[in-house]
Amino acid sequence: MPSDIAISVRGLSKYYEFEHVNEWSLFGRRGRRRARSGRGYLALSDVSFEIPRGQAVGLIGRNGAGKSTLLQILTGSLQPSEGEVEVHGRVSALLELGAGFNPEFTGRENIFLAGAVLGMSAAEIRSKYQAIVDFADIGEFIEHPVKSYSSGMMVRLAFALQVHVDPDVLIVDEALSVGDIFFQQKCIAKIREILQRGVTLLFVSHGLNSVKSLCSRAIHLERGVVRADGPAEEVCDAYQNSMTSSSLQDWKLAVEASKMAEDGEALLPVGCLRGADGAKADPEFERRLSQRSGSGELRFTGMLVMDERGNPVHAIEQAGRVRVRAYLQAQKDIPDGAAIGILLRDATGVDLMAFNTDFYRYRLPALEAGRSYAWELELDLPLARGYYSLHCGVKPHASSGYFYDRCFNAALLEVTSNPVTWGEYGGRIIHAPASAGLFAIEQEA
Amino acid sequence: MQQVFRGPLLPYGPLVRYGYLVRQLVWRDLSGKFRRSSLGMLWIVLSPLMLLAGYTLVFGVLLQARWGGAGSSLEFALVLYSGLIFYNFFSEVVGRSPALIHANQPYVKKMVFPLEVLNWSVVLSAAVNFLVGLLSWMVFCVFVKKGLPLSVLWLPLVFIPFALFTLGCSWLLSGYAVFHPDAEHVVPIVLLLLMFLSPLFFPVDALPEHFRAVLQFNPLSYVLEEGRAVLVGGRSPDLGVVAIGWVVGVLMAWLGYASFMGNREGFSDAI
Repeated sequence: MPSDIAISVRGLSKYYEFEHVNEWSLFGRRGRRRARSGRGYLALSDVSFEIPRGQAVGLIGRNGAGKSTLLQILTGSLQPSEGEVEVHGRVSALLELGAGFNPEFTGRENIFLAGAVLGMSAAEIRSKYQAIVDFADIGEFIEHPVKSYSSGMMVRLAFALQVHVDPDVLIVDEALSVGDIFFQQKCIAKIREILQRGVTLLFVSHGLNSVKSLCSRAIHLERGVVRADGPAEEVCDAYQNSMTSSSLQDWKLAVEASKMAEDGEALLPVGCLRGADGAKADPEFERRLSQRSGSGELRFTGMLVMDERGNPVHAIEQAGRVRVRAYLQAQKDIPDGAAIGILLRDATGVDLMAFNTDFYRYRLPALEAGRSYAWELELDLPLARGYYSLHCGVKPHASSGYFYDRCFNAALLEVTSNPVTWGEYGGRIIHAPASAGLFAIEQEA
Repeated sequence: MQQVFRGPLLPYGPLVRYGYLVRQLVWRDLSGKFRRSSLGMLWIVLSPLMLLAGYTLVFGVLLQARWGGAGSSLEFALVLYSGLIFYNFFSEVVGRSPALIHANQPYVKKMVFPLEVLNWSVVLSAAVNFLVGLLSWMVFCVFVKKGLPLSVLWLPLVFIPFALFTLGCSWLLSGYAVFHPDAEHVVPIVLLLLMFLSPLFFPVDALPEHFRAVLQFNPLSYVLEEGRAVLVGGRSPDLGVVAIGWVVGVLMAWLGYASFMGNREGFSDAI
């Protein structure tokens, strides 16, 4: 192994058993790996990468993607089910800030205790003590028991301690998400300073901006598999897009690059509808509405239900896919964007489904007075035969109660089913895609 | 071949490599326990003294007990207490072992940490308690007998292999209990049985023959007998027994360590 590699992971898999399995034997398993029971799940599957000395790598992915498992294996606290892991040099892992603290002890005592736990010698801690205290900046609290600290103060002390360990490899997991913005900036600056000394960084965060600003490379894990590995900008942008399209797959409007707003919310990408399609709107719309309310800065001007190819329809086959398009016009400038949603009801007035951009942490971008927009949603309707109504609403982003416009019975939809295939009753209310099998049971001898 | 020679030395590696960490953990243990009480560290000295006073009151004053039917009741308390400090050492370490890894979960899951030092720290902090108990016993002895037998100097020869044996038990148990947490409930009962099946409240010679045979299988019996020989008996210990003690102690520490380290990789999955 070349010495300029800090972390090397080859063919790494981790399998968790659901059931507790007793594995104790007098001298242990000594690296023998147990067969999988089949009742468990694969948290990591064939993960491989190498991190050269001095590189800063961001690890991104949704919850449950296997990030924490990977970090635990890298720190040696978890054993891989398959594959090899090599980490060279002294590792400082911020998997949990303050894990080595004793709440009854003062901050000063905890620096010495947790410092020893993190592998520092007495002389080392003494020489860095002042720097740690200065960095934590918690004033006279350093002489008080840690149990009297606010959570922010504890995090500051823990972080201060752990960045002063002088590691060769620094592993940071979500640690920066706590603490106020000033402290976060201070931490980022400190990590940068450490990086300049040639330390290797593995940084896990949901804050893509800090990944982009700290790291040159990013690895995107998805369900235990490396989905992307490359320059941080690229991987983060692709991840951002995949987050967007996984909840609204096949978004058919042309999409400008989506942008992350400052507050961490995704703005809905704006496409463009041209020609007759955009202008036509829906002449029957106003007459169809059973009820309408709202302040009127934004107004719906139509709603179309279309099949997958974009042809307006009034009825679809059971379990079909539809595109719902709402037209709206801005009467005033809406600079802060808006939230838009639809509601689906059955013929008896039961609300079956709601879709709202707030749910998915999107919002519409700034809308200009006098312009018309079309918002489109494509979805599988798992509905059985019957009549259904669609209702729509638009309101300021993240508000409740205040609506620009709310339209009831904006569109009607009939779901049909072939009586030959589905019999008289079809699927009652919902149509759940399902498969079934029959198994003969063998009597045990 | 080299492995065979190095093997018995392995248990002492953590002490060398992580000396400062062990010191910090022992200190955490000792001072953390009394941190919330107003008398603080004074309890380390106070609790053995109060224990000694309690035993003197019950056995010496109320029951008028005599050790082996001779001596004064104060002497009985003195003899009893000399055995108790050994038993308490063992029961403190072994009693804490099953829950040890579980109680330090963050060290298992959240950081790079040599778990084997936890057992060392438990043994060493119990050893501090043993020493404090021993000192208070010595003061008591000077007070009752107007002097200390010179044979007390033999004590390290008896205590150290016993401590190593206890350390080995601790490693074995704490590793085992990670996978079998029920051990936590069994161990206190076993400790209690060991107490009654050891010559703690009476000398071995005072027992009927069949009872004596049972005591032979209790490793604590030998320690208590030899410990009492050097503390109260004023005799040098039976060197044959001490030699066997050393062999057993060193082997047990080695066995416990090997078992703990062999099972260690499964800990974070099992916890």
